[in-house]
Amino acid sequence: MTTPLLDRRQFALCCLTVLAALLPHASWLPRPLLVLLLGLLALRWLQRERWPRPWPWWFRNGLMLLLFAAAWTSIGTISGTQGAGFLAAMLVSKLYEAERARDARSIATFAAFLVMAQFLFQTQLWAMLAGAPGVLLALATLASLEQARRPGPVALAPALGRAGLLLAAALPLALVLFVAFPRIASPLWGNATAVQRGGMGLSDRMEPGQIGLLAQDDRPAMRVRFEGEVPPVALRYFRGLTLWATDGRAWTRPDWVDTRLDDLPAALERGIRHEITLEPDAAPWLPVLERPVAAPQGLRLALDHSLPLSRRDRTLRYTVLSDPDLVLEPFGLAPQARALALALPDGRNPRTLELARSLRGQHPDPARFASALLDLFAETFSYTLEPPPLGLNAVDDFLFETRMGYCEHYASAYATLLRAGGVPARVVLGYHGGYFNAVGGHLVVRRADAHAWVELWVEGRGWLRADPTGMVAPERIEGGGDALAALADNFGRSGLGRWLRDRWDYLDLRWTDWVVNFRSESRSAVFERLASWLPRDSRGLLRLALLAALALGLVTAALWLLRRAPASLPGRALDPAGRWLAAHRRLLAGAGVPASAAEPLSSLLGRAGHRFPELIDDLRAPALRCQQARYAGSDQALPGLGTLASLWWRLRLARLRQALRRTAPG
Amino acid sequence: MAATLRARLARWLPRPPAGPLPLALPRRRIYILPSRFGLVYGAALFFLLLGALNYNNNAAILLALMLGATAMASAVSAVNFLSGLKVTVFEAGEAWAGQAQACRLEVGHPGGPVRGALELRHAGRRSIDRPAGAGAVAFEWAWPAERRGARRLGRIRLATGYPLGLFTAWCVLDVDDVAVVYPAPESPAPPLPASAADAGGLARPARGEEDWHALREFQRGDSPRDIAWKVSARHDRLLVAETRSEREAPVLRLSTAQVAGLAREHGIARLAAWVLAAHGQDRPYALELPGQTLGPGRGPGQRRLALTALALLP
Repeated sequence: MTTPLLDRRQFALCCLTVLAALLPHASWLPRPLLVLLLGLLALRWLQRERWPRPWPWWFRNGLMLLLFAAAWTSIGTISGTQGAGFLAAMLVSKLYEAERARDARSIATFAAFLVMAQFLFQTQLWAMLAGAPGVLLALATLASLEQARRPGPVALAPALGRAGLLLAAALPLALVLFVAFPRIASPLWGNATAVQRGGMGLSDRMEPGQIGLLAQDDRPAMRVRFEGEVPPVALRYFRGLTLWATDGRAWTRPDWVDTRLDDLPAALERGIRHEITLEPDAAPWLPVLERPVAAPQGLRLALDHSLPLSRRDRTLRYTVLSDPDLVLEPFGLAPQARALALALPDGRNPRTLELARSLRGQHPDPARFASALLDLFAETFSYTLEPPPLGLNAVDDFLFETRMGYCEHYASAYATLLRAGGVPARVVLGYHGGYFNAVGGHLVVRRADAHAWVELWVEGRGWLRADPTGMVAPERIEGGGDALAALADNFGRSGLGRWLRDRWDYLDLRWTDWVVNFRSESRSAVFERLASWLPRDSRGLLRLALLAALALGLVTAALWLLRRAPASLPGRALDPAGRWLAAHRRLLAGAGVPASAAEPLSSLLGRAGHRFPELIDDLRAPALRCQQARYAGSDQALPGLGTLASLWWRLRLARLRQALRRTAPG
Repeated sequence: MAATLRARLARWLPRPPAGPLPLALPRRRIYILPSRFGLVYGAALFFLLLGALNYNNNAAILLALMLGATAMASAVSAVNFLSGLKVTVFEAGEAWAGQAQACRLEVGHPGGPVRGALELRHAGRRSIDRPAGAGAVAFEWAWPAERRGARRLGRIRLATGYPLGLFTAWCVLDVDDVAVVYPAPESPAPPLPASAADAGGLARPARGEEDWHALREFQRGDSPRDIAWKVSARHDRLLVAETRSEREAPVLRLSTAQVAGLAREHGIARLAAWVLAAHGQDRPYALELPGQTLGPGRGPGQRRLALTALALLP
């Protein structure tokens, strides 16, 4: 059975559906492929609009192969989520053979897959919102195929309206299902944790020039809720992981540091309790406020008091207790650790080593030595996000030649100097600062807040934090990333922008809380919470019944949304001409010419003409046309909503003019 | 096999609502099943959900559930749509036994325009809706007529894929309204029987010889030749001049007695042919059937009465 040919509006809906499903992928799809797909889409729409002729089979199949080849060369893999590129290519080539209703149906179905593929890449709220038009348009495409036949092209508004109404009616049921639906514990195929892509946050190595890229990235990296007061900026060091090994340029982390720290000092239950929600791609470890007393549930602290994240674990929300005054390993460093914390590559950065040794000679006390080194930075160094490139002896180049850089350069140089002077030191990567979102009551730490500093070990005092960047650019430390942003002069933050940003950020966090991080445990938690609202003394059966009643209520609400309005409702049962006239009446009433439903049109128009003499013809002609269409059965074209809108506007203007005339002198 | 199964199923299912038009579609007699596309869509959703579960991606799970819930909502919407409809008018065109009868059925919605596409199935034929003014839709189809007589419209099935095409909802109605199929006229038929008056009365008097007798209002079916144009112009309405000869044209009497020698259906066919012939000559005629006499009269009304009576003869 062949299905009917697509009307041009229906086809336009198909094109829009593909476009809406494709656009959110623009952030990751290779640019040439994206441009090719969009161009082909526009071309096909134009072609069918102007020369509605089907393409021969060899052209369509050739195009599909060509697009697949293009996707293959630009993406390189068909497996996993990158398959979305192929899906997009398939949808666009499917448009070239779309002539009938069944083609439109398959396009709408596969567009849903494309939208879903986008959610695998991005889970933020904006991604969900960006997917909504695709879903709405896909449903509208389906709805446009099932409308009663009318003369002329298929109307889009009822199809879109119907799709929107169905989505609204489906929402309660979907939410109930979302909470109740079982989740699977481990993936059936593939590595489900490796899907997150997009802008990477910090990595587990540090090279000069890395964080500089992040400084321009204004997206949130994590959000922190404090139980008590938010600590001052000077204390807001979110420690990620420590880097020990260096080749004179890059810093890396040896594996043994990941060893679990078993014998934690018996910590008192004091400190700052805070809950962190980490964006999935912000870091390969869990940054926590300095210094964690104990690991969050289910995790272990590593030897350096960092929280490495195993690859299969997707914990992105954790509560930690931190004590800024916690002393780490004060009375002795394990020989292996000490050796690592002092190791420097042979033959690199000779001038740095020489400087450090001579300074150490002047200051035998390690703490003194460290502060003398810091004073060094205060002299002639400057802070910039665009430092000149450094050579193989990166620290030498930096200290003696360029003298410009940002936290990475300073941390790297400072740690190298300390080690050369015989003081164990390590580089710490993490985040620092953040701004407080008053709406959500949480701290937002952005990727731009990525920071690197140094920890040095002093006998008897343990590991001490030292931030050489603070000597050069104190505003970076005092103001956090904002100062950095002001430096980069990339985003001024006006009042309105800030207002909007705070609210959006809050919504995004809620989204992450309630949807993205929703898991089976939270599912039972939801039930628990629901159950806790119910009367306590009853047995489980009553609770179940109440829950069922709640679900039933939601479904009833959906049904109520779907009901057909009874004929007796005024304005609903009217024909188009009657509706237009009713709108016209309301318009006049709004403009100060009130009308009852009983007043004849001619009398109403007369009064309106008296009030707005200059608009009399524009008010009269379309209304009379409507009246004739309604009662005299004339088949003149009805005036549309555009006429109403323009009347509305001109009535406003006329009233304004009258008001001005009244107030004008004379 | 399928037929017996269907018959057995029909015994279990409640009888479709029956009666004369207008007939509303009762909510409790509306059936709904996934359409073929709905099944494909369901399979696609299943894989969507499977993928979302595999990647443990809650946004994608929400999307899949949202689409599934939308499908459910669309099923409710489909039933709501059908149950609000009302079959208002059935019209059957003129048809002769052995031909197809042009039928027209109008469906409206008391609360506004009919929103969704509908498909009508009747006697194994499908037809789709077309606009019929004032928000109503109409179906037009050809219904083969085998025998003369009145026949009930009987079972009609109204189906819709509205609103998304994922489900097919349908309702069967048993409509009492009848369509009349006229007997097929004998062809070629012998000439009209001679009337009681002389055969000369059959010939029209030549123009000018006519003897004006009276003026009367124009009626549908009057020949334009008979309109008194000048008088009409004076009175601003159409008047027909009746001539004495016309008024006194002998009434042709057609009777079952005249075809007594023929087989029953043959006789009826001949009478039908004579009615058509008399109508074609615009002669007044009367049809005498057992138990009733129609006319004398002429024009479309008489023709319809006569042919219907012939169609309904036992």
